[in-house]
Amino acid sequence: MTLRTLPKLGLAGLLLVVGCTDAVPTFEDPSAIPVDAETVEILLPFSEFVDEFQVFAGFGSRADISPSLLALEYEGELEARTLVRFNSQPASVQAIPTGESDAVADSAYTPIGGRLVVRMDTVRFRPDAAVELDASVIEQEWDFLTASWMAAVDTLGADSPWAEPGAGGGRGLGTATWDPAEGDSVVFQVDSLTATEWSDRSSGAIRSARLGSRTPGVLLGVQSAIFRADHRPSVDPDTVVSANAESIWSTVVYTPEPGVSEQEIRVGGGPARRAFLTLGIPTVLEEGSGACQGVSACPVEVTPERLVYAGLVLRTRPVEPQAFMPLDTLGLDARTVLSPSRIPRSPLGSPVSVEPRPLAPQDFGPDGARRIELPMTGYIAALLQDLLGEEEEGAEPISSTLALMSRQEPSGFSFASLVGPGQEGEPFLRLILTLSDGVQLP
Amino acid sequence: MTLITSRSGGLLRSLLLPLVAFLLLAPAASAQSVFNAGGLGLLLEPLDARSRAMGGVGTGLQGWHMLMTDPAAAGGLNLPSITATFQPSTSQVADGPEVGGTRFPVIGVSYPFGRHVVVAQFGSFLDQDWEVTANRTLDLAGGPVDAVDRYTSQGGIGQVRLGWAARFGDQVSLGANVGSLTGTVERRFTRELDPDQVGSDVEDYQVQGRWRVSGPTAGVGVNWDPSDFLRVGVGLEWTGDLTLAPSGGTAGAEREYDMPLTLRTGGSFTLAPDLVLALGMTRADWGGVDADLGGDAARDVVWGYGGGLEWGRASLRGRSMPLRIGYRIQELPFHFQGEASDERALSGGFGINLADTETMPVARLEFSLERGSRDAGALSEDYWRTTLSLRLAGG
Repeated sequence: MTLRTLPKLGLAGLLLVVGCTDAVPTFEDPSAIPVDAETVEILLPFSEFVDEFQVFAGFGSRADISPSLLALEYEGELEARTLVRFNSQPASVQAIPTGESDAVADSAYTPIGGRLVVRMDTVRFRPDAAVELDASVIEQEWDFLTASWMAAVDTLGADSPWAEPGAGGGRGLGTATWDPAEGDSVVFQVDSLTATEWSDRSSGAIRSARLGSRTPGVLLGVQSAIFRADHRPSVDPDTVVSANAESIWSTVVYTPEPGVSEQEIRVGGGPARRAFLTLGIPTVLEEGSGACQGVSACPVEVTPERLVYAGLVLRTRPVEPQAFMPLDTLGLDARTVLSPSRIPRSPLGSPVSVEPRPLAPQDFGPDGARRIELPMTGYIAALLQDLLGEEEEGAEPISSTLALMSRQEPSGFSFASLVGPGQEGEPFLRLILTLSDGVQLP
Repeated sequence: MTLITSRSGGLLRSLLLPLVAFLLLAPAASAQSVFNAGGLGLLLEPLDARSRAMGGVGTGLQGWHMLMTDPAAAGGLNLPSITATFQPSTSQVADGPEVGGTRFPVIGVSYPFGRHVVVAQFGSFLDQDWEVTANRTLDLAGGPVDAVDRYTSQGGIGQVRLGWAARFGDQVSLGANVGSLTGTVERRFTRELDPDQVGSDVEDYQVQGRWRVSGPTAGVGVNWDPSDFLRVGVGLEWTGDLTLAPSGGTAGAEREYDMPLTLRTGGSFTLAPDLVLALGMTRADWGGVDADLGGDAARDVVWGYGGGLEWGRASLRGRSMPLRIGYRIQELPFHFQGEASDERALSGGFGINLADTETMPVARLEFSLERGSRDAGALSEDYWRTTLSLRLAGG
């Protein structure tokens, strides 16, 4: 670069600087805005925006509850037991025949006993002191997907109750004490009879155990259960060979099992509960309606252009029975119901909120009654477009039925409880509208 | 024909480099002033850099050139030519933020047919880029909510004209043009509620309108050179009703606004060798549009005065580079916040021939810099305005 190039660069720089700044001149003056806009907040009572309300339970399986649970008189009434079915033992074990040096496969081994090793969840469920657990053999066919406190199998046309509720009545394997300070595992000794039954490789073999708590008032979690069998090989009767069989099924059965009520909105649990709301959003709010109480702008047309916010307002209430109070944060979601005529088995659409509304455990305690709001502006605006015939050409119709549910189902055995219709603190729809005559020329 | 002499090549390249860079990077045209918010916008006369440097005198300047404000001035253009003017500016109200932007006040082409010259031009007229905001607290059923209202106007009104000019003898040239107002105007109102107070899903309320601009316009002008030392020019510009017709789904009927008849007169006198004095004046009656806007929104008669000196003895690398200085006072047609407004500016600049034939320049660059203010009652806005004009001629 020479000195003669400096003026060129200077001029280029000047031009670029002045040429690249661009901003709209802005000033602040409320009186200079030539639009008379009014923003109103309207609270639509439940009866003025919901045409139909339904509640259902039974979504998902108890088998999906993780970890499995053990309880005896937890919060005074909950009893929960974990059921497991083990994989079969191997067809043969490796053993060195007497007097030889090479191992051979021995399928004629004899089970002589073993251990049921249970690993407990020490992160979420940690008792303050040692607890006593029991285990017994399940001698009855059961179905891990449908088994409940009362039924071993609960499928259409093949119901089968337990001989005793709660998978009770089987042969006991004894008790064991678990002290969380000493470790996360508890071991039950398995006798030769049970070991022989659990080593049965036939397809009809049950190979199942029931775990329970004998210490009242605690809630415990079971991470896993393994049957560790001891076998005596036929080729070397003086030797004992061990083989593991992990659980292939597990579920939890519990009692009591709260249902649903139309006076209450319950979401979550395992199996999960849902509430279905079929919306009938009014497109005109008439003077004298419940929504127009204290709103001077009524009568007012509710249009997508005017709608700036819509949120479903709910109120939490104490969970009853208290044993089912959520132990962790639960995400409340609302999803469109794609085929309302097939409720409760209708497929669901996308959530109407980007994020689920978190519900904290303390919101459901004896003193918990908190207002929560599920924003759904885009959904209500789309619904209004449909109602007013303003939807874009080729757009899919929007379902006017919503499912209130937990984002993860099942989320555990506990559930969230919200005030239902007709009760004090019933749900309402909060709408914020901005009204104006539009932009005019001067 | 050799359009560019070899002697000028280096200088041409020196100046074209930043100019091309400027053209490529300059943003969309928009002048920058809060006074755009008054009435139908801020008056933007389609003047080039030479006129700006000489106090805004737009009629009766010596020489031959394309100016919308002086239709007869193209009468002596004997080569096809093209001219473009670029105008970056910044402005600042009191202690407020400085805003800036760029506009293109006049672009034109001319083509001679014998002693007749045909001219096509696009020029500025009224600028409507502005935005006003208001912070409010709304009293909703659930409690007070903070909101920001924003009213944005975008676009502007320009004019496109087809003209004719010719010389009659050595002393008289005449010019006339006809055309139309053109452009679009968009206005948008937005209300933003505070999501922390309302809910995360709150959306902005927005209504908007868009209007297409039309309206006839025409002008005539005459320049008289009674001697080698004096030129006097007069121009009359008529604009019919400005029509704003809704478009793009905007509701409502079209509106019409009465536009003024504008008289421009000016002249330039050679005071001494290489020293020229130019004076000019404009008068426009905006009383009709005041009634259309509901009254008390515009002046009845708008006056503008300006004058400047051009000293032709300066040179750069052997090329003539006339230096100019000027001052102007221009009343603005529309009131701002209920107050009559005007604009005053001190200006300076230069011109330089980038390339010559033996008889006339074929590439010429003009530059001006203005420091001015716009005032309306207690409100005052200062601005810097740079104007750059490039004229190329050839055949």
